[in-house]
Amino acid sequence: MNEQLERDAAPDRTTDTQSGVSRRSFIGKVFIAAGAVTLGGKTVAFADDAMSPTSADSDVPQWAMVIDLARCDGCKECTKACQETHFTGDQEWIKVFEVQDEAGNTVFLPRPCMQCENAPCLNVCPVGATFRNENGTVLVDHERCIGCRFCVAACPYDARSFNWTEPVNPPGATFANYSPEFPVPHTKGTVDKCMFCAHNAMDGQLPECAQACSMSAIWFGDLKADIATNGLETVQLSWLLTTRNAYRLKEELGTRPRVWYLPGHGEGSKVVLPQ
Amino acid sequence: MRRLLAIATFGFVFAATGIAPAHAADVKTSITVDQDTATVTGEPVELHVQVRDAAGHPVAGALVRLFVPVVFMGEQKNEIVGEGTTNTAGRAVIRFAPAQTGQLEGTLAFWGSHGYAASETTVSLDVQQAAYTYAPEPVGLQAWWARSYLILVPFVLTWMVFLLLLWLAVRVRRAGAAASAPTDIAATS
Amino acid sequence: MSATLNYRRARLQERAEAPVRPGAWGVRGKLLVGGLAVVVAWGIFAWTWQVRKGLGVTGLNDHLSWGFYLTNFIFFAGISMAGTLISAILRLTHAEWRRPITRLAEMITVAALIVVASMVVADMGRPDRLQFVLLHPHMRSPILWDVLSIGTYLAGSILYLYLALVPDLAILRDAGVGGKLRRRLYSALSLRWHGVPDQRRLLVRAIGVMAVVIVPVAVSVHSVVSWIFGMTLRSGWNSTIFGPYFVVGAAFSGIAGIVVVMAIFRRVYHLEEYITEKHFRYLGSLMLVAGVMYAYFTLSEYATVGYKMEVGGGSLLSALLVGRYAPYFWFFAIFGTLVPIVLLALPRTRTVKWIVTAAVLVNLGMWVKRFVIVIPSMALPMMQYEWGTYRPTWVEWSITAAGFAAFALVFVFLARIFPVISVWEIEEGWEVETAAARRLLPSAVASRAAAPSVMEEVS
Repeated sequence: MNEQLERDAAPDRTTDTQSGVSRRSFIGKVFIAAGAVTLGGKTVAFADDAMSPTSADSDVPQWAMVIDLARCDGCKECTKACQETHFTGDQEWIKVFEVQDEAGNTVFLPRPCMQCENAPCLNVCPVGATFRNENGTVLVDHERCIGCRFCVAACPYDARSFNWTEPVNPPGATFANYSPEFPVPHTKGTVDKCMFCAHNAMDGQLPECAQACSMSAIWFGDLKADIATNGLETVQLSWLLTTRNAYRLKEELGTRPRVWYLPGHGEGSKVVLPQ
Repeated sequence: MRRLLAIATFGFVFAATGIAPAHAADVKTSITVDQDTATVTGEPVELHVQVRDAAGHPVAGALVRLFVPVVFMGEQKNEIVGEGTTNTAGRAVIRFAPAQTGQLEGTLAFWGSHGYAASETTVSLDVQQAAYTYAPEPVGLQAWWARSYLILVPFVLTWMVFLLLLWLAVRVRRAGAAASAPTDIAATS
Repeated sequence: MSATLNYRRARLQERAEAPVRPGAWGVRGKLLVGGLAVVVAWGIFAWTWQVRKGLGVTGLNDHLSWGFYLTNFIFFAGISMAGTLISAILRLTHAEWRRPITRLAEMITVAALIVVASMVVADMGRPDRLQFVLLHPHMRSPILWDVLSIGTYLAGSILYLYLALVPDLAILRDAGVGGKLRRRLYSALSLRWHGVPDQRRLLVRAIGVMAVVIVPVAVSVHSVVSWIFGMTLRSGWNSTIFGPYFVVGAAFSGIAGIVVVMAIFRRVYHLEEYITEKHFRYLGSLMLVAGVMYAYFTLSEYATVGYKMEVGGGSLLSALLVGRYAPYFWFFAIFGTLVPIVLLALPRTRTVKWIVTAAVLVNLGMWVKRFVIVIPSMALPMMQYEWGTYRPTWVEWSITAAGFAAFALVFVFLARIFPVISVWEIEEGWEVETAAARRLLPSAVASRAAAPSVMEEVS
């Protein structure tokens, strides 16, 4: 059985010798569980493995984000930085909502893509344009997307944006080298979303929103190494989550998001998403 | 050198968070930990620390943090892995669930407040087995037959039936050709 | 008596052949075809406009990303159930009365599925990448299940329509209907059919197998269409009964569809002798049963949502029953379901006129119901923002109109070259009748010896 890889991980990019995080990219092993069969030269991805997060036996970082609602002041610098870096126009890949928590206080809720481990968007994509890379980040391949918007309908967090018209790509965007990790320039009729700045992570940089946050409210971390940083402090991720009573949005849906929120006011006071 | 770096980092941090920086005029303090080295076998470790001032009196309400050096995002950083606040006796318990194995040179730091200077001490931890591992659970039914491509099976069978019916149509045509062939008159009734 | 039978047969064939003969369509027919073609052409133009400018020319947006196209998709998929119901299920249950309407039903299925496929393409953001669903299929996506299921159903329906056409094509061939091209077509497609026992045996077996196989395929079609919605986490869609719900809905709207089409062709082609009041009443009864079942499913769906009042369910229900979508919901519930059920149930209104009225109401109501399934759940906010809004633009209206016009046009095309009633099946029915009568009254019928077998050469 010729194991030609259908929906591969992001191709191995950097040989960043400065990075102490080893970059063993076992692309094939991680993704093919049920196996890809070659039929007449074309591959059919029986990729039910895409429903599984990446395997436990590798050192590849599994990115996660923790957003401290106690510090977020709703300034939307994160949104602006993301929009500027990715030339998104009006789309807000990290969107700051103003919500109430259980105690009735007003809280600002920045919502990036949750990069769910059981991602509804990934499950419903008919052509595998939405896929998970080795870091567990859910990416979109604009050269594969057919624009059916099933993922937009399936996402419970409203995290996806569709290019309804010809996107305005300024020169910086037009001449960029397209890759799912840095989805610029944009294509009409395809879907866009936050990708945890996979292009930054590859170079050991924090996502743009985390860098731009003036309150250092956005932590970016690695679930494998159990470390998170907001640019100033570096903490043990599991410790941060436990001591600050972190929670995830819409936990009951079973999407297993990789974005945690630290309550804004007092322990156990989660945001209420009114409907 | 690392200590200076650590102190400088702390200074920056608590300046950002608004805790008053320690001045040279502040009372010097010292921080001690009950166990200097620890062999950790994968259970969370508890470090008992004591903060005293220069006169030996305990310092209450002191926030003590445990730092461990790590390399993250290509940079050497000091990672906060636990913290505790001293009680009236100047004692605090810091719990730490190690995520990596190996020899860790931890730093316990009290970064001064209310007229107390910052202080720190090191602690050696020999982690045999990490208490924390991230092992993501696979999603979906873990059975070899619970695979979505199995939906192809009934449809492939249906298409095979369609081909069979096309074959029957060909046979209808052949039967028609045979019937109109004039060789066998008795065949037509 | 065989003279009577011959007369009957000749009359039937003449009725069936007449519209197929060249020049049978007068000015009105040509105007109709012209009008439909214009609507379809305009719809295609609207679609090319949409492809050029992007889906932004529709009323869709990030907070309401599926609209008319998906509504039409479900609607026409539902209509396509007619073929299987009449042709396959009624055949398997030996319902003799189906015979004059099987051909129409099969044509409905083929025409509806063609429109279904075009609605899917109309909704895509990158229709130039349509082949990716075949080149890079991910079988865990309900859209792929749709491709598989609807593709199989379309192929099966075309095959079924064809197999059942073969003896009629032989009749047309032997009668020399049409110009040179048409005669060549009939000759080629009729598989040298001469009604000999061998051929008859093979064809009956083929059709019998098809009838059995097509039923689960049809059920799968409506189930996977429902799972496009049922497999998501949105309120109103996150329901376990969507599979059977849509199947019953398809039966309901499918029967209503065949009633309407039946009424039109009966009038236009003067087929009152073959498509009788009995057919309308029987289909009316089936529609009644399907309608009651659909009402029950709808009640079950909304009652469970309303009882539990989970997050999202409460505001969705409120919007549907008393809020912004209430006019649509109640139109469907009252005019689309309740009124037809009453019309079909009361003996007073079980006449052709009222049954057709009920069917028209059902079709309208079911289109609105599909709208009510798609749009409110789409508009319901998933995070803290306002309800989505939907103002369909000329592009969506044009493409919707073109969908209906294309449906009619495919019909017109099929009715132009194939007889809309299945001559050989009706004749087979007479045979069955006579055989049954013979068994009941052997002495009386014995004198009418050897009514010729309908399956023999008919030249």
